[in-house]
Amino acid sequence: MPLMSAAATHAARWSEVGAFPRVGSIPRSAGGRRLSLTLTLLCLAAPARAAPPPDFALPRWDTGATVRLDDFAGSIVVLDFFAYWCAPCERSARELETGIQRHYAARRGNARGRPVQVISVNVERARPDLTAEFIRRTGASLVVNDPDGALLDRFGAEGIPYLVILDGSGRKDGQGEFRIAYQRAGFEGVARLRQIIDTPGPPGTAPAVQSAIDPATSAAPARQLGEADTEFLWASDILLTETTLHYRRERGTTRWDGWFAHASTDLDYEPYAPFDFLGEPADVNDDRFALRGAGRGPLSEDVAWLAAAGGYDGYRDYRSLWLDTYYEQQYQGVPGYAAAEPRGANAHVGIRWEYLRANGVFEARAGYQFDQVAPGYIVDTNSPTLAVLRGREFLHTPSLSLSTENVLGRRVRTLQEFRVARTSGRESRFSGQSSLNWAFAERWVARLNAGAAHEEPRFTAWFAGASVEWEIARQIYVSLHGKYYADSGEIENSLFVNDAAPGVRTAHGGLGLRVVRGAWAFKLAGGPFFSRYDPIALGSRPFTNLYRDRNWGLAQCALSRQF
Amino acid sequence: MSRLLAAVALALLAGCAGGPGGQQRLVWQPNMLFADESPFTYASRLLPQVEPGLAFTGGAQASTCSACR
Repeated sequence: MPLMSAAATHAARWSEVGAFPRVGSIPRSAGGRRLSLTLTLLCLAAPARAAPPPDFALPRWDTGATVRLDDFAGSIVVLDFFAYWCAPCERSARELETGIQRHYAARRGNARGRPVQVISVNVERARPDLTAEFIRRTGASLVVNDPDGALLDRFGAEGIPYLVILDGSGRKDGQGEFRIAYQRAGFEGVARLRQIIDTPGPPGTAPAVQSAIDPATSAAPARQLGEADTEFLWASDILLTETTLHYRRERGTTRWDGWFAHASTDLDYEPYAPFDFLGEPADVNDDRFALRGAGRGPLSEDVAWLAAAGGYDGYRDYRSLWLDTYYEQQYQGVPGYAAAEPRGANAHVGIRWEYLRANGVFEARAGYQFDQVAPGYIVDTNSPTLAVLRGREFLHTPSLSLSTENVLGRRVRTLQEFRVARTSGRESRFSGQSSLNWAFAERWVARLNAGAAHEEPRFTAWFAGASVEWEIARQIYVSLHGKYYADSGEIENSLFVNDAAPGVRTAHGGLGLRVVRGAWAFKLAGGPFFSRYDPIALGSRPFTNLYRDRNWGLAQCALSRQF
Repeated sequence: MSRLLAAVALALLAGCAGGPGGQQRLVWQPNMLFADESPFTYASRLLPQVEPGLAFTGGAQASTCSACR
């Protein structure tokens, strides 16, 4: 593709990489017409597939000695193109070393006795210190350098990790040739690769290359993640907390997640005296517990299934707890009143389709949520004695969610999300959100997002947020973020007493710190949060102390470890 | 201008190749991904309690309206 080859690779700014010359930056001469043409060609042009494998000769990472493809004549060669900054590459490199290299070394070859050799190909010339750490973490035993990814480009790769399996069983004594048996961006898992490696071919003789690696188990290792995070949101009369424990297990392309969450709500309940004659101040508390599980697994080469289910017990938010306290104080003991037992459950199924290898993913989910809420009450005017009518207690919410994540060029990644849901007794709510991450400089990332929601007859909401993150030192990041939200107020009917919230505007800003050290990652963030309500209608005056302006503080802390 | 907008819209909706795989270092940094791991996201679980338009379970449930349509 002429336009792509005309653009030079990214500029390397780290002066400590003394061994490598500074490369040029992308020409600045592109005008608007060239930009649109470039975009069109990028979107429409299919990646070129390589001809029969090139006869490469690349230097070893550790010794500099030349490694040639022909050194492995008669063998099966697995090329794993990687870079230290490629997060998925770490999993593939680790699993290839144990699940392919050591597996076939222990068995002295594939099903036909052909020796198998994994060659990890580094395509990043900058930051050799980080590449060395990557190699140490993954245990890759044979690593070669492919400066600037020239060999990778010759295979027409769309992204990394890029896997190529070369069958050299037909190559011997300078005769015959290697055959490309497999090539793909992304890692499908050890099982898939073994299927291809063990595909029947000419029986082998004595192995041409002996592996020095000790034999290991044949099972591909599972990657596990454990994390804990806590969040606090507080105002002068409200304290909200939520702590979540999360466990993830991945093996190949199959992934399982489990979450346990505990949330607490503490209110200094204060009735609005001019309108609430029966209320009393109270210290109100509630604990909510939730469990959730999710899974993802392969359906085909590019499609995966998604599933999740969960449940909770307790009030979902401080407003429902506040309102339930009000109704309890007003109507406890009155016929028609019953204590609330809020709880709920949810489930969803979906598919994930990687329609553009390493660069485009589409997800669709169909979900269902059941909620047993704390309903409101109104006086039953048809009753001869004092009695109340209970509001809707059971809510059912089916939903459909669509999202697409894309890589646009070398610096931009976007996520578009759309959702439609319909809760019992209401109209459908449509919501959408667009997010854009932009690596606008070497150590700087900007994240922008905006969204809106609408529900008939007249609920609308919108928000916009931005953050800037700076890598001040190796894998230490500081960020500045802010967000603004506004809505038109919840939909109410014409009853005299109405607990629906008026329109609200919120603003939030804060600072964040993140540190990554090996398998550990830590985050600390916080800042002020302001909520401002529209004037309260006469029918909502009993809830003035609920819907009053507040200044809040928000703090987040999270810790994770991969193992 | 309309063709440019159409190309941008097509890119946003359908995705584009991000350039040769070995040149995607910046776009594959951990802080460029839309990760769901807690240390790599600043999304708040508590703020939707104050911002009902962001609640994921529909209007009535989020608003707890007693007499809402």
